[in-house]
Amino acid sequence: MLKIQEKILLYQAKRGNQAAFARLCSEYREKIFRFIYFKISNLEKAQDLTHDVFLKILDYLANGGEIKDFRCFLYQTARNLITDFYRLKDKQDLSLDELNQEIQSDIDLNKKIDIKLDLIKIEEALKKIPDRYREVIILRFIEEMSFKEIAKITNEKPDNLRQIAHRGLKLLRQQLQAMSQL
Amino acid sequence: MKWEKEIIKLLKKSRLIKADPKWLERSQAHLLAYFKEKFLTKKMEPAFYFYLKPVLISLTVLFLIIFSTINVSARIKNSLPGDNFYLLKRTYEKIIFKLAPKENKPILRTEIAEKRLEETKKLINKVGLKDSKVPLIIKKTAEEFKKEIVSLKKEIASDKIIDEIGDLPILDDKKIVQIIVEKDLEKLLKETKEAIKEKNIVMALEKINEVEEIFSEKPVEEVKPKPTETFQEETKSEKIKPLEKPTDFKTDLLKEENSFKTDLIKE
Repeated sequence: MLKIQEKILLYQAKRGNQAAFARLCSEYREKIFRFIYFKISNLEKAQDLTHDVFLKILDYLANGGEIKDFRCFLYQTARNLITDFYRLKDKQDLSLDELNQEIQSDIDLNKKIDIKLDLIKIEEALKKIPDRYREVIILRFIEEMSFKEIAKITNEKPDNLRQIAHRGLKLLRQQLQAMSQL
Repeated sequence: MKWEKEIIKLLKKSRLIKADPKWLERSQAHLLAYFKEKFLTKKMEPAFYFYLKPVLISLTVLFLIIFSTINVSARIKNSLPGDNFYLLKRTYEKIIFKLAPKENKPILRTEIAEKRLEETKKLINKVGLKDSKVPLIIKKTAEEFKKEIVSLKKEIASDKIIDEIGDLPILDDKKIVQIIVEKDLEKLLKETKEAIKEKNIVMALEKINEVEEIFSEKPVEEVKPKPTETFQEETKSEKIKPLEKPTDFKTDLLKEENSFKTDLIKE
């Protein structure tokens, strides 16, 4: 979605246009869900937190709040909620069964299994690297955001983020190698 | 690096992870209901202001640019010697002249001579008598007018070395008032231009001669502003202070005029 489209939809949503808000939701809900899911590794909680993110956005808009960059604002809100979650809850391990409903249904079964295995590997490896690196890897390589956009969300400098991303990949590689040796 | 690409490829597979569709449906419904609660459902108003704001701003900026360009170009066009934009005007004229094809140069030069004449007229009418720079500016502009006439003659008469006629009677500012405001000069310049356009060189040279004759007719010794029949023209009368005593240039002027005519006849 282009920035200008986003701005128009946001403007309309603020003026009470339900369809505009629905459009924004459908654009970002999957992405926010994925982001939270990789951070907390709990499907149910990821869904709840995703829902909470959008409720918070609605409250903010209803109270007359101004949002300059909707995407960044969403991710910042998601991060804050994740921080709260970490304070209150323990992480839970993921099972293959839970993953079953997550992968696209139009893929061949064998392929699905392969993908699942890969996903589990990635998820396990991501869990083991520090949160700082994990976050940047998710935003950069899974959500395909630019370093500039990530800088707005994380309050880090783009140059630092490049280094973090590079080190994060190295750590991930080490984890994957360690897992394959086991 | 290769290993980086592989890991990134692996990470990109994670995009296949989707939320439960049933959950998505429930969540959507709940959010929209919450939206209704928080916002009064309004009819979608055309967001004219939002759409038009950038358009309005761009149009305003464009209008200001166009207006200031027109304003500045008008000021440049109407600028007189001594004004801020005058140098720009002269520079622009020189550029246009240099870029013009050879066959158009005589016509352009006539137009430039007309402009110098017009500027001198305007200067005389415009400036106050108390300004001590006035006579100098008028003198300079009149000299430039003369230069243009001489260069014009050089251009339209081929293989000719024409001597300069010598100084105009510009030291006697009373004369210059009478000469410059003479409408015949303007008419003659226009006729010269038309003759050049029609490639009637003989006619053009004749007209230039007449222009020069107008400068040479007035005797130098005349100090009193006694207009002769040729220069009977009511000008916007503002007395101009006399400058220095005029020198005896009339004889030289006539001499050179004659030599030029001889050359023309020889041709």
